[in-house]
Amino acid sequence: MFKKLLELYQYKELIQTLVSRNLKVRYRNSILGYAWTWLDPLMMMFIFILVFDVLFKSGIKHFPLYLLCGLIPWTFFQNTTGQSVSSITDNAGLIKRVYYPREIFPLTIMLTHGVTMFLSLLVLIPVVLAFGIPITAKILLFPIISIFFFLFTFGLSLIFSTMNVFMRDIRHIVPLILRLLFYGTPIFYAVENRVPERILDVYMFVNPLAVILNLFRSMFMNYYVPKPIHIAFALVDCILLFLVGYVFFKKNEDLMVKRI
Amino acid sequence: MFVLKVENMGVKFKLSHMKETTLKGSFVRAFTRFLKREPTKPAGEDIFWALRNVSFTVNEGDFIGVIGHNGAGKSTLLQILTGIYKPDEGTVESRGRIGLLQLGTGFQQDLSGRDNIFLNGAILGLKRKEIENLYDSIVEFSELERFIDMPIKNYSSGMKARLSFSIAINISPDILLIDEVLSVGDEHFKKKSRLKLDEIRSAGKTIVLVTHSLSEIRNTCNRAICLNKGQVVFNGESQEAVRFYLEQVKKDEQKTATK
Repeated sequence: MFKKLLELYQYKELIQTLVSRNLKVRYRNSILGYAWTWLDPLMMMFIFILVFDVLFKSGIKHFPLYLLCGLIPWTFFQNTTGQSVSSITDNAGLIKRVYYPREIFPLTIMLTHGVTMFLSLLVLIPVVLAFGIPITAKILLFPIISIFFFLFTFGLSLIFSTMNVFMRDIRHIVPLILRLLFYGTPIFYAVENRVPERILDVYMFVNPLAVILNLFRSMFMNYYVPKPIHIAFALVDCILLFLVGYVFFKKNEDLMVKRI
Repeated sequence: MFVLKVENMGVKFKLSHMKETTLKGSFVRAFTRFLKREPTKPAGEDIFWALRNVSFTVNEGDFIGVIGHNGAGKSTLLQILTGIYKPDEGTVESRGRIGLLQLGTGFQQDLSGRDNIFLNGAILGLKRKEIENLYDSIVEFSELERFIDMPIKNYSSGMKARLSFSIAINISPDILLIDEVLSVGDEHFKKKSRLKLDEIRSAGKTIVLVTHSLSEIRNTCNRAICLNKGQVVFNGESQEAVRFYLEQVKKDEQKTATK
Protein backbone atom coordinates (compact mmCIF):
# COMPACT_ATOMS: atom_id res chain seq x y z
CA MET A 1 0.00 0.00 0.00
CA PHE A 2 2.85 2.38 0.78
CA LYS A 3 4.31 1.63 -2.62
CA LYS A 4 1.04 2.67 -4.21
CA LEU A 5 0.91 5.87 -2.19
CA LEU A 6 4.48 6.60 -3.28
CA GLU A 7 3.44 6.08 -6.89
CA LEU A 8 0.88 8.81 -6.38
CA TYR A 9 3.66 11.19 -5.43
CA GLN A 10 5.35 10.68 -8.79
CA TYR A 11 2.28 12.15 -10.42
CA LYS A 12 2.45 15.46 -8.59
CA GLU A 13 2.91 17.41 -11.83
CA LEU A 14 -0.28 15.95 -13.23
CA ILE A 15 -2.13 16.64 -9.99
CA GLN A 16 -1.00 20.27 -10.09
CA THR A 17 -2.10 20.67 -13.69
CA LEU A 18 -5.49 19.11 -13.00
CA VAL A 19 -6.13 21.27 -9.94
CA SER A 20 -5.33 24.47 -11.81
CA ARG A 21 -7.50 23.25 -14.67
CA ASN A 22 -10.40 22.72 -12.26
CA LEU A 23 -10.00 26.20 -10.80
CA LYS A 24 -9.81 27.72 -14.26
CA VAL A 25 -12.90 25.93 -15.56
CA ARG A 26 -14.91 26.79 -12.48
CA TYR A 27 -14.42 30.52 -12.71
CA ARG A 28 -14.31 30.92 -16.45
CA ASN A 29 -17.10 33.11 -17.81
CA SER A 30 -18.13 34.34 -14.38
CA ILE A 31 -17.75 38.05 -13.81
CA LEU A 32 -16.98 37.84 -10.12
CA GLY A 33 -14.51 34.97 -10.57
CA TYR A 34 -12.67 34.02 -7.41
CA ALA A 35 -14.93 36.25 -5.33
CA TRP A 36 -17.47 33.43 -5.46
CA THR A 37 -15.29 31.37 -3.16
CA TRP A 38 -16.40 33.48 -0.23
CA LEU A 39 -19.58 35.04 -1.60
CA ASP A 40 -21.12 31.59 -1.51
CA PRO A 41 -20.72 30.84 2.24
CA LEU A 42 -21.42 34.50 2.98
CA MET A 43 -24.83 34.33 1.35
CA MET A 44 -25.57 31.06 3.12
CA MET A 45 -24.60 32.80 6.33
CA PHE A 46 -27.10 35.62 5.85
CA ILE A 47 -29.88 33.15 5.22
CA PHE A 48 -29.01 31.19 8.35
CA ILE A 49 -28.70 34.31 10.47
CA LEU A 50 -32.16 35.35 9.35
CA VAL A 51 -33.68 31.94 10.05
CA PHE A 52 -31.89 30.73 13.15
CA ASP A 53 -30.73 33.86 14.90
CA VAL A 54 -33.51 36.31 14.17
CA LEU A 55 -36.51 34.01 13.83
CA PHE A 56 -35.64 31.13 16.16
CA LYS A 57 -33.13 32.75 18.52
CA SER A 58 -30.26 30.26 18.61
CA GLY A 59 -28.68 31.83 21.68
CA ILE A 60 -25.17 31.18 20.38
CA LYS A 61 -22.57 33.85 21.07
CA HIS A 62 -21.14 35.50 17.92
CA PHE A 63 -23.57 33.53 15.81
CA PRO A 64 -22.36 34.77 12.38
CA LEU A 65 -18.81 33.71 13.16
CA TYR A 66 -19.95 30.43 14.66
CA LEU A 67 -21.84 29.76 11.47
CA LEU A 68 -19.01 30.69 9.10
CA CYS A 69 -16.44 28.60 10.98
CA GLY A 70 -18.71 25.60 10.47
CA LEU A 71 -20.03 26.46 7.06
CA ILE A 72 -16.68 26.95 5.31
CA PRO A 73 -15.26 23.50 6.17
CA TRP A 74 -18.66 21.94 5.60
CA THR A 75 -18.89 23.45 2.13
CA PHE A 76 -15.50 21.95 1.34
CA PHE A 77 -16.64 18.55 2.59
CA GLN A 78 -19.95 18.67 0.78
CA ASN A 79 -18.55 19.85 -2.55
CA THR A 80 -15.72 17.33 -2.51
CA THR A 81 -17.79 14.27 -1.71
CA GLY A 82 -20.69 15.46 -3.85
CA GLN A 83 -18.53 15.94 -6.94
CA SER A 84 -16.20 12.98 -6.41
CA VAL A 85 -19.08 10.55 -6.73
CA SER A 86 -19.12 10.77 -10.50
CA SER A 87 -15.45 11.67 -10.96
CA ILE A 88 -14.50 8.23 -12.27
CA THR A 89 -17.50 7.79 -14.54
CA ASP A 90 -17.24 11.33 -15.92
CA ASN A 91 -13.54 11.05 -16.75
CA ALA A 92 -13.81 7.80 -18.68
CA GLY A 93 -12.22 9.50 -21.70
CA LEU A 94 -9.07 10.43 -19.85
CA ILE A 95 -8.92 7.18 -17.91
CA LYS A 96 -9.00 5.10 -21.07
CA ARG A 97 -6.24 7.08 -22.69
CA VAL A 98 -3.23 6.35 -20.56
CA TYR A 99 -2.46 4.65 -17.27
CA TYR A 100 -2.09 6.62 -14.07
CA PRO A 101 -3.46 6.06 -10.58
CA ARG A 102 -7.19 6.76 -10.84
CA GLU A 103 -7.57 8.07 -7.32
CA ILE A 104 -6.09 11.21 -8.84
CA PHE A 105 -9.59 12.29 -9.88
CA PRO A 106 -11.23 12.45 -6.44
CA LEU A 107 -7.93 13.74 -5.08
CA THR A 108 -7.78 16.69 -7.46
CA ILE A 109 -11.41 17.56 -6.75
CA MET A 110 -10.59 17.62 -3.05
CA LEU A 111 -7.47 19.73 -3.53
CA THR A 112 -9.40 22.20 -5.68
CA HIS A 113 -12.01 22.68 -2.97
CA GLY A 114 -9.20 22.70 -0.42
CA VAL A 115 -7.72 25.78 -2.12
CA THR A 116 -11.14 27.40 -2.00
CA MET A 117 -11.49 26.59 1.69
CA PHE A 118 -8.09 28.08 2.55
CA LEU A 119 -8.94 31.28 0.68
CA SER A 120 -12.25 31.56 2.51
CA LEU A 121 -10.61 30.97 5.89
CA LEU A 122 -8.06 33.65 5.06
CA VAL A 123 -10.88 36.12 4.47
CA LEU A 124 -12.40 34.99 7.75
CA ILE A 125 -9.48 36.18 9.88
CA PRO A 126 -10.11 39.95 9.54
CA VAL A 127 -13.79 39.30 10.28
CA VAL A 128 -12.83 37.49 13.49
CA LEU A 129 -10.61 40.41 14.49
CA ALA A 130 -13.43 42.83 13.74
CA PHE A 131 -15.57 40.96 16.27
CA GLY A 132 -12.89 41.70 18.84
CA ILE A 133 -11.83 38.08 19.20
CA PRO A 134 -8.08 37.48 19.44
CA ILE A 135 -6.35 34.94 17.20
CA THR A 136 -4.62 32.54 19.60
CA ALA A 137 -1.76 30.07 19.25
CA LYS A 138 -4.36 27.33 18.67
CA ILE A 139 -4.36 28.32 15.03
CA LEU A 140 -0.96 26.63 14.71
CA LEU A 141 -2.81 23.31 14.91
CA PHE A 142 -4.51 24.12 11.65
CA PRO A 143 -2.21 22.05 9.37
CA ILE A 144 -2.61 18.91 11.49
CA ILE A 145 -6.38 19.20 11.80
CA SER A 146 -6.62 19.85 8.08
CA ILE A 147 -4.68 16.71 7.25
CA PHE A 148 -7.08 14.58 9.29
CA PHE A 149 -10.07 16.36 7.81
CA PHE A 150 -8.67 15.71 4.32
CA LEU A 151 -8.09 12.04 5.07
CA PHE A 152 -11.70 11.71 6.20
CA THR A 153 -13.07 13.50 3.16
CA PHE A 154 -10.81 11.60 0.76
CA GLY A 155 -11.72 8.21 2.24
CA LEU A 156 -15.42 8.89 1.86
CA SER A 157 -14.97 10.26 -1.67
CA LEU A 158 -13.09 7.11 -2.71
CA ILE A 159 -15.87 4.90 -1.41
CA PHE A 160 -18.60 6.90 -3.16
CA SER A 161 -16.77 7.14 -6.48
CA THR A 162 -16.07 3.40 -6.52
CA MET A 163 -19.65 2.50 -5.73
CA ASN A 164 -20.97 4.82 -8.40
CA VAL A 165 -19.15 2.86 -11.12
CA PHE A 166 -21.03 -0.28 -10.20
CA MET A 167 -24.32 1.36 -9.35
CA ARG A 168 -25.02 4.67 -11.01
CA ASP A 169 -27.73 5.38 -8.44
CA ILE A 170 -25.13 6.33 -5.87
CA ARG A 171 -24.83 9.70 -7.56
CA HIS A 172 -28.45 10.42 -6.62
CA ILE A 173 -28.20 8.93 -3.15
CA VAL A 174 -25.13 10.85 -2.02
CA PRO A 175 -26.83 14.29 -2.00
CA LEU A 176 -29.50 12.83 0.27
CA ILE A 177 -26.88 11.42 2.63
CA LEU A 178 -25.12 14.78 2.63
CA ARG A 179 -28.30 16.64 3.48
CA LEU A 180 -28.95 14.29 6.37
CA LEU A 181 -25.40 14.74 7.57
CA PHE A 182 -25.79 18.50 7.30
CA TYR A 183 -28.63 18.48 9.82
CA GLY A 184 -26.82 15.93 11.98
CA THR A 185 -23.75 18.10 12.28
CA PRO A 186 -23.45 21.17 14.52
CA ILE A 187 -23.32 23.84 11.82
CA PHE A 188 -26.18 26.15 12.72
CA TYR A 189 -26.70 24.74 16.22
CA ALA A 190 -24.37 23.88 19.09
CA VAL A 191 -23.85 20.32 20.29
CA GLU A 192 -24.49 21.15 23.93
CA ASN A 193 -27.90 22.68 23.12
CA ARG A 194 -29.18 19.90 20.97
CA VAL A 195 -27.47 16.56 21.72
CA PRO A 196 -28.47 14.85 25.00
CA GLU A 197 -25.59 14.26 27.40
CA ARG A 198 -26.01 10.48 27.60
CA ILE A 199 -25.56 9.86 23.88
CA LEU A 200 -22.87 12.50 23.44
CA ASP A 201 -19.96 10.04 23.31
CA VAL A 202 -21.68 7.85 20.74
CA TYR A 203 -22.65 10.88 18.71
CA MET A 204 -19.08 12.16 18.63
CA PHE A 205 -17.79 8.77 17.57
CA VAL A 206 -20.35 8.34 14.81
CA ASN A 207 -19.97 11.84 13.45
CA PRO A 208 -16.33 12.95 13.59
CA LEU A 209 -17.34 16.00 11.55
CA ALA A 210 -18.88 17.46 14.72
CA VAL A 211 -15.51 17.34 16.45
CA ILE A 212 -13.65 18.63 13.43
CA LEU A 213 -15.98 21.61 13.01
CA ASN A 214 -15.67 22.45 16.69
CA LEU A 215 -11.91 22.21 16.39
CA PHE A 216 -12.06 24.70 13.52
CA ARG A 217 -14.05 26.96 15.78
CA SER A 218 -11.56 26.66 18.59
CA MET A 219 -8.77 27.53 16.21
CA PHE A 220 -10.42 30.47 14.51
CA MET A 221 -12.78 32.04 17.05
CA ASN A 222 -11.33 30.90 20.36
CA TYR A 223 -14.19 28.47 20.94
CA TYR A 224 -13.82 25.85 23.68
CA VAL A 225 -11.68 22.81 22.79
CA PRO A 226 -13.59 19.50 22.54
CA LYS A 227 -12.90 16.80 25.15
CA PRO A 228 -9.66 14.88 24.46
CA ILE A 229 -11.54 11.61 24.23
CA HIS A 230 -13.78 13.06 21.52
CA ILE A 231 -10.78 14.36 19.62
CA ALA A 232 -9.21 10.92 19.83
CA PHE A 233 -12.43 9.37 18.48
CA ALA A 234 -12.46 11.73 15.55
CA LEU A 235 -8.83 11.17 14.65
CA VAL A 236 -9.23 7.39 14.76
CA ASP A 237 -12.35 7.71 12.58
CA CYS A 238 -10.48 9.78 10.02
CA ILE A 239 -7.63 7.30 9.69
CA LEU A 240 -9.99 4.32 9.59
CA LEU A 241 -12.19 5.82 6.92
CA PHE A 242 -9.18 6.74 4.81
CA LEU A 243 -7.72 3.22 5.03
CA VAL A 244 -11.03 1.54 4.26
CA GLY A 245 -11.71 3.90 1.35
CA TYR A 246 -8.27 3.57 -0.14
CA VAL A 247 -8.11 -0.22 0.05
CA PHE A 248 -11.67 -0.51 -1.30
CA PHE A 249 -10.83 1.75 -4.24
CA LYS A 250 -7.56 0.02 -5.09
CA LYS A 251 -9.12 -3.45 -4.84
CA ASN A 252 -11.78 -2.51 -7.36
CA GLU A 253 -9.70 -0.29 -9.62
CA ASP A 254 -9.03 -2.77 -12.45
CA LEU A 255 -12.63 -3.85 -12.55
CA MET A 256 -13.80 -0.23 -12.57
CA VAL A 257 -11.79 0.61 -15.68
CA LYS A 258 -13.55 -2.21 -17.53
CA ARG A 259 -16.95 -1.00 -16.44
CA ILE A 260 -16.81 2.66 -17.41
CA MET B 1 16.42 -6.16 -27.70
CA PHE B 2 12.71 -6.21 -27.04
CA VAL B 3 10.72 -3.21 -25.87
CA LEU B 4 7.39 -5.00 -25.57
CA LYS B 5 6.91 -8.62 -24.63
CA VAL B 6 3.47 -10.18 -24.40
CA GLU B 7 3.14 -13.77 -23.19
CA ASN B 8 -0.04 -15.86 -23.18
CA MET B 9 -1.93 -12.71 -22.42
CA GLY B 10 -5.70 -12.72 -22.06
CA VAL B 11 -8.27 -10.15 -20.98
CA LYS B 12 -11.91 -10.89 -20.26
CA PHE B 13 -15.06 -8.87 -19.85
CA LYS B 14 -18.26 -9.88 -18.17
CA LEU B 15 -21.13 -9.45 -20.57
CA SER B 16 -23.69 -8.87 -17.84
CA HIS B 17 -21.58 -5.94 -16.69
CA MET B 18 -22.07 -4.24 -20.00
CA LYS B 19 -25.77 -3.91 -19.33
CA GLU B 20 -27.11 -0.93 -17.48
CA THR B 21 -25.86 -0.67 -13.94
CA THR B 22 -28.48 0.79 -11.68
CA LEU B 23 -29.83 -0.20 -8.34
CA LYS B 24 -33.28 -0.68 -9.81
CA GLY B 25 -31.90 -2.86 -12.58
CA SER B 26 -30.12 -5.21 -10.23
CA PHE B 27 -33.18 -5.45 -7.96
CA VAL B 28 -35.45 -6.22 -10.87
CA ARG B 29 -33.04 -8.86 -12.18
CA ALA B 30 -32.64 -10.48 -8.78
CA PHE B 31 -36.41 -10.45 -8.27
CA THR B 32 -37.33 -12.00 -11.62
CA ARG B 33 -34.65 -14.63 -11.10
CA PHE B 34 -36.20 -15.40 -7.72
CA LEU B 35 -39.72 -15.63 -9.18
CA LYS B 36 -38.70 -17.93 -12.00
CA ARG B 37 -36.50 -20.01 -9.67
CA GLU B 38 -33.83 -19.51 -12.23
CA PRO B 39 -30.31 -20.38 -11.09
CA THR B 40 -27.68 -17.71 -11.69
CA LYS B 41 -26.02 -18.11 -15.04
CA PRO B 42 -22.93 -20.33 -15.04
CA ALA B 43 -19.84 -18.16 -15.02
CA GLY B 44 -18.55 -19.44 -18.38
CA GLU B 45 -21.46 -18.22 -20.48
CA ASP B 46 -21.22 -14.73 -19.19
CA ILE B 47 -17.54 -14.19 -19.97
CA PHE B 48 -16.18 -12.75 -23.16
CA TRP B 49 -12.46 -13.02 -23.82
CA ALA B 50 -11.54 -9.93 -25.82
CA LEU B 51 -8.02 -11.33 -26.20
CA ARG B 52 -6.63 -14.73 -25.33
CA ASN B 53 -3.35 -16.64 -25.66
CA VAL B 54 -1.74 -13.63 -27.25
CA SER B 55 2.06 -13.80 -27.43
CA PHE B 56 4.46 -11.65 -29.39
CA THR B 57 7.48 -9.45 -28.93
CA VAL B 58 8.27 -6.07 -30.40
CA ASN B 59 11.91 -5.11 -30.80
CA GLU B 60 13.44 -1.71 -30.64
CA GLY B 61 13.01 0.17 -33.90
CA ASP B 62 10.16 -2.01 -35.16
CA PHE B 63 7.30 -0.48 -37.08
CA ILE B 64 4.62 -3.03 -36.46
CA GLY B 65 1.12 -3.06 -37.91
CA VAL B 66 -1.97 -4.64 -36.37
CA ILE B 67 -4.83 -5.69 -38.66
CA GLY B 68 -8.08 -7.52 -38.14
CA HIS B 69 -11.85 -7.26 -38.42
CA ASN B 70 -13.87 -4.88 -36.33
CA GLY B 71 -14.02 -6.28 -32.84
CA ALA B 72 -10.96 -8.51 -33.27
CA GLY B 73 -9.39 -6.90 -30.22
CA LYS B 74 -7.03 -4.38 -31.82
CA SER B 75 -7.90 -1.37 -29.68
CA THR B 76 -8.09 -3.50 -26.54
CA LEU B 77 -4.59 -4.72 -27.31
CA LEU B 78 -3.28 -1.17 -27.41
CA GLN B 79 -5.04 -0.38 -24.15
CA ILE B 80 -3.41 -3.41 -22.55
CA LEU B 81 0.00 -2.30 -23.79
CA THR B 82 -0.41 1.13 -22.20
CA GLY B 83 -1.46 -0.41 -18.90
CA ILE B 84 -5.02 0.89 -18.94
CA TYR B 85 -6.38 -2.64 -18.58
CA LYS B 86 -4.54 -5.22 -16.54
CA PRO B 87 -4.35 -8.63 -18.24
CA ASP B 88 -6.39 -11.35 -16.54
CA GLU B 89 -3.95 -13.98 -17.77
CA GLY B 90 -0.33 -13.94 -18.82
CA THR B 91 2.10 -11.06 -18.71
CA VAL B 92 2.94 -7.85 -20.50
CA GLU B 93 6.41 -6.37 -20.14
CA SER B 94 7.47 -3.03 -21.52
CA ARG B 95 10.57 -0.87 -21.50
CA GLY B 96 10.38 2.87 -21.95
CA ARG B 97 7.65 5.48 -22.07
CA ILE B 98 4.54 4.54 -24.01
CA GLY B 99 2.25 7.01 -25.74
CA LEU B 100 -1.18 6.09 -27.07
CA LEU B 101 -2.64 8.14 -29.89
CA GLN B 102 -6.40 7.79 -30.25
CA LEU B 103 -9.01 9.96 -31.84
CA GLY B 104 -11.36 12.00 -29.76
CA THR B 105 -10.20 11.11 -26.29
CA GLY B 106 -8.18 12.97 -23.76
CA PHE B 107 -9.24 16.48 -24.63
CA GLN B 108 -11.11 18.69 -22.21
CA GLN B 109 -13.75 20.41 -24.28
CA ASP B 110 -13.91 23.57 -22.16
CA LEU B 111 -10.20 24.26 -22.16
CA SER B 112 -8.21 25.96 -24.89
CA GLY B 113 -5.83 24.11 -27.17
CA ARG B 114 -2.95 25.54 -25.17
CA ASP B 115 -4.25 24.21 -21.85
CA ASN B 116 -4.97 20.86 -23.42
CA ILE B 117 -1.39 20.57 -24.61
CA PHE B 118 -0.20 21.05 -21.05
CA LEU B 119 -2.81 18.69 -19.66
CA ASN B 120 -1.95 15.97 -22.15
CA GLY B 121 1.74 16.39 -21.51
CA ALA B 122 1.20 16.04 -17.78
CA ILE B 123 -0.93 12.95 -18.32
CA LEU B 124 1.88 11.41 -20.34
CA GLY B 125 4.22 12.08 -17.43
CA LEU B 126 6.13 15.13 -18.65
CA LYS B 127 7.38 17.91 -16.42
CA ARG B 128 5.99 21.38 -17.00
CA LYS B 129 9.39 22.59 -18.15
CA GLU B 130 9.64 19.81 -20.73
CA ILE B 131 6.22 20.65 -22.14
CA GLU B 132 7.15 24.33 -22.34
CA ASN B 133 10.17 23.38 -24.43
CA LEU B 134 8.07 21.27 -26.78
CA TYR B 135 5.11 23.67 -26.93
CA ASP B 136 6.24 25.68 -29.95
CA SER B 137 7.03 22.68 -32.09
CA ILE B 138 3.68 21.09 -31.20
CA VAL B 139 1.73 24.19 -32.24
CA GLU B 140 3.82 24.70 -35.34
CA PHE B 141 3.36 21.12 -36.51
CA SER B 142 -0.40 21.21 -35.96
CA GLU B 143 -0.66 24.52 -37.91
CA LEU B 144 -3.19 25.77 -35.36
CA GLU B 145 -1.39 28.96 -34.26
CA ARG B 146 -4.44 31.11 -34.81
CA PHE B 147 -6.83 28.89 -32.89
CA ILE B 148 -4.66 27.73 -30.02
CA ASP B 149 -6.41 29.92 -27.42
CA MET B 150 -9.87 28.85 -28.49
CA PRO B 151 -11.74 26.17 -26.48
CA ILE B 152 -11.36 22.71 -28.03
CA LYS B 153 -15.12 22.35 -28.37
CA ASN B 154 -15.02 24.86 -31.22
CA TYR B 155 -12.41 22.86 -33.15
CA SER B 156 -13.35 20.79 -36.18
CA SER B 157 -12.65 17.08 -35.98
CA GLY B 158 -9.72 17.48 -38.36
CA MET B 159 -8.22 20.18 -36.14
CA LYS B 160 -8.59 17.96 -33.07
CA ALA B 161 -6.91 15.08 -34.85
CA ARG B 162 -4.07 17.33 -35.94
CA LEU B 163 -3.54 18.58 -32.42
CA SER B 164 -3.57 15.14 -30.82
CA PHE B 165 -1.23 13.82 -33.47
CA SER B 166 1.17 16.72 -32.99
CA ILE B 167 1.19 16.24 -29.23
CA ALA B 168 1.80 12.51 -29.48
CA ILE B 169 4.70 12.67 -31.90
CA ASN B 170 6.42 15.71 -30.43
CA ILE B 171 6.37 14.27 -26.94
CA SER B 172 8.25 11.40 -28.61
CA PRO B 173 7.60 8.46 -26.36
CA ASP B 174 9.91 5.47 -26.77
CA ILE B 175 6.98 3.41 -27.99
CA LEU B 176 4.23 5.13 -29.94
CA LEU B 177 0.90 3.33 -30.28
CA ILE B 178 -1.36 4.71 -33.00
CA ASP B 179 -5.04 3.78 -33.25
CA GLU B 180 -6.55 4.71 -36.62
CA VAL B 181 -5.52 8.31 -36.62
CA LEU B 182 -3.56 8.65 -39.81
CA SER B 183 -6.65 8.31 -41.96
CA VAL B 184 -8.02 11.68 -40.92
CA GLY B 185 -6.72 15.05 -41.96
CA ASP B 186 -6.18 16.30 -45.48
CA GLU B 187 -3.56 15.00 -47.91
CA HIS B 188 -1.12 17.71 -46.96
CA PHE B 189 -1.23 16.80 -43.27
CA LYS B 190 -1.16 13.08 -43.99
CA LYS B 191 2.00 13.44 -46.03
CA LYS B 192 3.59 15.54 -43.32
CA SER B 193 2.65 13.02 -40.65
CA ARG B 194 4.13 10.17 -42.63
CA LEU B 195 7.42 12.02 -43.02
CA LYS B 196 7.46 12.72 -39.31
CA LEU B 197 6.82 9.06 -38.52
CA ASP B 198 9.75 8.06 -40.73
CA GLU B 199 11.88 10.54 -38.85
CA ILE B 200 10.79 9.08 -35.50
CA ARG B 201 11.51 5.61 -36.72
CA SER B 202 14.98 6.43 -37.94
CA ALA B 203 15.63 7.86 -34.48
CA GLY B 204 15.29 4.27 -33.25
CA LYS B 205 11.81 4.60 -31.70
CA THR B 206 9.21 1.87 -31.93
CA ILE B 207 5.78 2.30 -33.47
CA VAL B 208 2.71 0.07 -33.25
CA LEU B 209 0.04 1.03 -35.76
CA VAL B 210 -3.56 -0.18 -35.77
CA THR B 211 -5.27 0.50 -39.07
CA HIS B 212 -7.73 -0.76 -41.65
CA SER B 213 -5.67 0.65 -44.49
CA LEU B 214 -3.77 -2.30 -45.94
CA SER B 215 -1.67 -0.08 -48.18
CA GLU B 216 -0.42 1.72 -45.12
CA ILE B 217 0.65 -1.60 -43.60
CA ARG B 218 2.39 -2.59 -46.83
CA ASN B 219 4.17 0.73 -47.31
CA THR B 220 5.23 1.63 -43.81
CA CYS B 221 5.44 -1.42 -41.54
CA ASN B 222 8.23 -3.96 -41.46
CA ARG B 223 6.14 -6.48 -39.53
CA ALA B 224 2.46 -7.04 -38.91
CA ILE B 225 0.21 -8.99 -36.61
CA CYS B 226 -3.14 -10.27 -37.74
CA LEU B 227 -5.81 -10.62 -35.06
CA ASN B 228 -9.00 -12.64 -35.31
CA LYS B 229 -11.54 -13.05 -32.51
CA GLY B 230 -9.01 -12.11 -29.87
CA GLN B 231 -6.25 -14.41 -31.08
CA VAL B 232 -3.07 -13.86 -33.05
CA VAL B 233 -3.53 -15.74 -36.32
CA PHE B 234 -0.51 -14.37 -38.12
CA ASN B 235 2.69 -12.72 -37.00
CA GLY B 236 5.41 -11.94 -39.50
CA GLU B 237 6.49 -9.93 -42.48
CA SER B 238 3.98 -7.21 -43.42
CA GLN B 239 3.44 -8.14 -47.11
CA GLU B 240 2.63 -11.71 -46.11
CA ALA B 241 0.42 -10.54 -43.27
CA VAL B 242 -1.67 -8.52 -45.71
CA ARG B 243 -1.89 -11.49 -48.07
CA PHE B 244 -2.94 -13.73 -45.17
CA TYR B 245 -5.56 -11.26 -44.06
CA LEU B 246 -7.04 -10.89 -47.56
CA GLU B 247 -7.29 -14.66 -47.93
CA GLN B 248 -9.01 -14.86 -44.60
CA VAL B 249 -11.52 -12.21 -45.64
CA LYS B 250 -12.19 -14.17 -48.85
CA LYS B 251 -12.76 -17.38 -46.87
CA ASP B 252 -15.16 -15.65 -44.54
CA GLU B 253 -17.09 -14.28 -47.50
CA GLN B 254 -17.36 -17.73 -49.06
CA LYS B 255 -18.58 -19.11 -45.78
CA THR B 256 -21.37 -16.58 -45.51
CA ALA B 257 -22.22 -17.09 -49.21
CA THR B 258 -22.70 -20.84 -48.81
CA LYS B 259 -24.85 -20.48 -45.72
